[in-house]
Amino acid sequence: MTAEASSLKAGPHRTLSRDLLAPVLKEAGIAALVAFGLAVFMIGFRTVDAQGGLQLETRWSWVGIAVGAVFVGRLALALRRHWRRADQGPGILSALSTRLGAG
Amino acid sequence: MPYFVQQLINGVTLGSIYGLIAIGYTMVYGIIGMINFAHGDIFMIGAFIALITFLLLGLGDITWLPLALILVLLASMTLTSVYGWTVERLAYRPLRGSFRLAPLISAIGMSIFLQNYVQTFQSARVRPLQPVIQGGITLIESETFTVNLSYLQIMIVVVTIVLMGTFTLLISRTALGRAQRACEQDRTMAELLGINVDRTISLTFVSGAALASVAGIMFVLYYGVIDFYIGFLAGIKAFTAAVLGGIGSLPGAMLGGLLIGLIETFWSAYFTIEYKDVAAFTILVLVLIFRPNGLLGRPEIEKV
Repeated sequence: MTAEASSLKAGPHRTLSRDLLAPVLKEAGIAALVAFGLAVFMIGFRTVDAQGGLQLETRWSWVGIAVGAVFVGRLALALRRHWRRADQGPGILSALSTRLGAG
Repeated sequence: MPYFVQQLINGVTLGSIYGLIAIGYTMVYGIIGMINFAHGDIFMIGAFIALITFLLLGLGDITWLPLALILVLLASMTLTSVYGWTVERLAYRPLRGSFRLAPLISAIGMSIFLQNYVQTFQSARVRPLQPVIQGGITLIESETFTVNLSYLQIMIVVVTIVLMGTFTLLISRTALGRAQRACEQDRTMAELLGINVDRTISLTFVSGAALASVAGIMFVLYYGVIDFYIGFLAGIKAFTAAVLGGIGSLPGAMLGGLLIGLIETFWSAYFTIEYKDVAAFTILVLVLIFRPNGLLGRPEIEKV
């Protein structure tokens, strides 16, 4: 019996296998990387007036918060999408073909 | 005469900056038929990233000018491209297939968001930059007026010409350019033929943002001051340039940019500087009334 067929018999569960966790984490990781690219200069550094020109202040904690928020947010979205799919279950044709294949 | 020549030089320099921004408008319009009103603000973000990179290089004691300029160019183009990509991904892609006004409204919202984002994180005050490239050549010297061509002006015009050449090659000779032209002609057909339309549109936004960032670098070097609001006016003028040249046409955008730069500079020099924006926008109104397809644009043929 294939893994897919066994998961069909067991019904939809709000569990996350390692196969599914990897793409979800990858998606969240890429979003966090993009957020880092967006935030590293515009949030990470602040130009402040000083004698003889401008100076830079750093705010790495803000960058960390922004990146972390994006990572968590994207992860939550991806998990929600996954669970919705699991709750809906496979379509009739795909379930039928899986069962026939398994049989 | 020397005064005229000086204004001509100033106008071409300003027009080059407008032209670089206008290319972003025209490319996006060409491929998805919408005006990306957030493009001016992408230019502003490019200018801010350039300013921060210059300050960082100053802290790191990198004073060799060519290396500093290359590093600023790389940092600004890369990070501004990320902004261009993100704007398309978050604000426009979900609205593809929606009613025609939806992405336009989203673009205006994104423009306001980006302005407020920079205002919040970088302050609303004007940010100055010490002159980086100084010196120049004296072209004409008379008793009443001296015509100067600064090294910075030479650099701006040369960089613009090089980028225009590179982009023309990119559009006409590469697979990405072919995909862009295919999407421009018929997006559904392009998709049926195996072109990844989403990727092509994303790359169009990325390349437009990269050009806008170069314009931002030129702007911060040329004027020496920036604030969160520079993108709005420069963006609207570049949009005027794109319409004047014929929106959707790459050479048209550059020509329009040059013309708007020249009109604005000559108006300021010979009439009154307070009304230079009026002159530029009057051109927009006149073009839309008398030549809506612009100077090099083609009329849109709609099959019924």
